[in-house]
Amino acid sequence: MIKIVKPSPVLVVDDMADVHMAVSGILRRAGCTVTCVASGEACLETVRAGFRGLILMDIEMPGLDGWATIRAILEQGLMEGNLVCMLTTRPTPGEEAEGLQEYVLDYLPKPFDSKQLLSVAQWAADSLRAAPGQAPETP
Amino acid sequence: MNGYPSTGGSGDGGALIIIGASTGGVRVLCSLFEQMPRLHASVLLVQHMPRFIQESFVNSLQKYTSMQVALAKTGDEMEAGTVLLAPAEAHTTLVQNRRVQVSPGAKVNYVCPSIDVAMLSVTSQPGRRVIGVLLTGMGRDGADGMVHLKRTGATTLAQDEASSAVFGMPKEAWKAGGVQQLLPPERIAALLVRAAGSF
Repeated sequence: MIKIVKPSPVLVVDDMADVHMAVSGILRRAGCTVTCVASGEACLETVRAGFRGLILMDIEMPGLDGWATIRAILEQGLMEGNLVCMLTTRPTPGEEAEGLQEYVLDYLPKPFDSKQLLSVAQWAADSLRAAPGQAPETP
Repeated sequence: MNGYPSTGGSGDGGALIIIGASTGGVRVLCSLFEQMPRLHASVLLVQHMPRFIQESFVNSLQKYTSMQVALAKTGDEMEAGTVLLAPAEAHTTLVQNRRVQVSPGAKVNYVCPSIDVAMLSVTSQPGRRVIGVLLTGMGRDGADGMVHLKRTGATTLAQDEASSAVFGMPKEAWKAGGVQQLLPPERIAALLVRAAGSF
């Protein structure tokens, strides 16, 4: 079993409960603290409440989609301390993603490869831990 | 391997390599540099990313390479064996292919730093090998720059679709005619080693 070294918190944003179960299962076994929400609006509330860490973001959701949610996070000045990785069935981002290149660090297709997911989680943990004044570590 | 000479650099900066990357690039870059020895080349790296992680990315990348990795700043010289990362929220260009200039500016292709801006600053330099590499990413940043590099006689490589998290940037550069070869990262690494040579 791969363990994430000094993991950062992870927020899974997806309207599908089976995705919550699959992603959180893998990441929790690897030592991550995982929060799952079912909408872009709930993601915004969580980030407004202080979440800082890795955000795994679906694109197609009722209400705010993934891109609109990222734009709202940016507009509200809440991006610093958060890294975003898309986790989606959409094979290519599309034009709605224009302008978000600097904020979307990775793009994983569903069904996802657990090794890639863990690689992203480890990279995010390393980056956020080293960034000054950023996400708190979880043990 | 495609007839590339085994050494590519002339002058004390060695070969000049400009690598552009965006979404998905951080994972690929770590893997790419892990596969290469200390190149006899100076590398300018433009990776789209937020400012608050740029220094930690320098530290992360340093763990994967024996080349010296640093954040680029105005006045830096492109020296063999070094990798300079273009800082966020500014454009990085090269003066006479050698001296770094970091300047504030508006976003180009929705991004700052722009890969195009960096690549378009490169000039033809007889006797010196220049290599442009475009990796995974959303949008079309880098397409014009790769076309320019190719026209100046540089070798131009881009990441292939199968290995790209997002094939957008390599595809746009390919469609524009700026890419000589589409390759997976391990073959890009092998070509860079062969073209630039190592210490």
